[in-house]
Amino acid sequence: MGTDTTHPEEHGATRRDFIYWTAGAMAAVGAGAVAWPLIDSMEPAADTLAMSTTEVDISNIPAGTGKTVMWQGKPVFVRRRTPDEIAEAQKVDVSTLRDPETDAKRVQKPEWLVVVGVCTHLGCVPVGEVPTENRGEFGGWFCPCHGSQYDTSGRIRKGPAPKNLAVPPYKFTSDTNIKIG
Amino acid sequence: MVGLHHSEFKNPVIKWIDTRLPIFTLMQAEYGKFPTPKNFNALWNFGAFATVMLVVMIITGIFLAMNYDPNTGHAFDSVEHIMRDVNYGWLLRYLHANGASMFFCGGLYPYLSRHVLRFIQSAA
Repeated sequence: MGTDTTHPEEHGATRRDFIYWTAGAMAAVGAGAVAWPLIDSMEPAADTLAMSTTEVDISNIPAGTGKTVMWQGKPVFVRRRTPDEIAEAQKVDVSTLRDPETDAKRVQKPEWLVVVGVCTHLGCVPVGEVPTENRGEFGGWFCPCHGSQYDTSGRIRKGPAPKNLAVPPYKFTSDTNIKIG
Repeated sequence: MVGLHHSEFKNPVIKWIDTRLPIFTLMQAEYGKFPTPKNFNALWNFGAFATVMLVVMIITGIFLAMNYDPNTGHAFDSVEHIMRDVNYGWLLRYLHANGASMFFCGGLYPYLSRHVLRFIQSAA
């Protein structure tokens, strides 16, 4: 290597430079082709995506409690809110929230709140579907893992979680049925 | 700068990493500068095959383990799940299955038969 004369630094690009860059580009393409299947294998599998919608019968949910249903492998909280809980969710000053969102934007009918029951911190399932469980200081849900507290609109109010509980796409197929997804 | 590696690399990003974790110096020393005999032939590729297959087996094994269920009641179903439902799961499983053969027959046995036999011969 001491007698290498094909790579003079002061004469701009050489054939060897070209070969270096070509080999580097091929290596980058190869690394991408390897990484893609590995990363894609961690995405939701085909059988999970096949369960794209879930029908929920909401006729037997008493006011003030919720029902947990599975949708695409994730728990979804369907909660029938009391007038007090609705009023509480609506009177909050949105500008004071960590993830500002009005209650009206998060519900279709004020009586029914539908949110994905996965804490936005590290993915635990918060508790508080029935009044006997800990609902935290804001009367919504409490995440037992790291103490995130959600209000009666599923918005993050206290604790480490950065975002509100997600609202899945859903529609009322009748007065007593919801179709999620 | 006591304890930090003195890096020869010019590129500032590579130099920054190499100063703290001298992986670039290591790669250069082992695969760039390391002196090798002139008379190496193609048979010496088997050592590199064995190394590459070892890495492939570790990576595909980790990703398969994410979806495999080691329970007598669920193992078969979880393999079916990997083959049919997990994205590229079939590819990972076939790579791991054929990789096992390629690791031993295509890399390790030729490599070992050359180096271990030579070691035994010279030690005897």
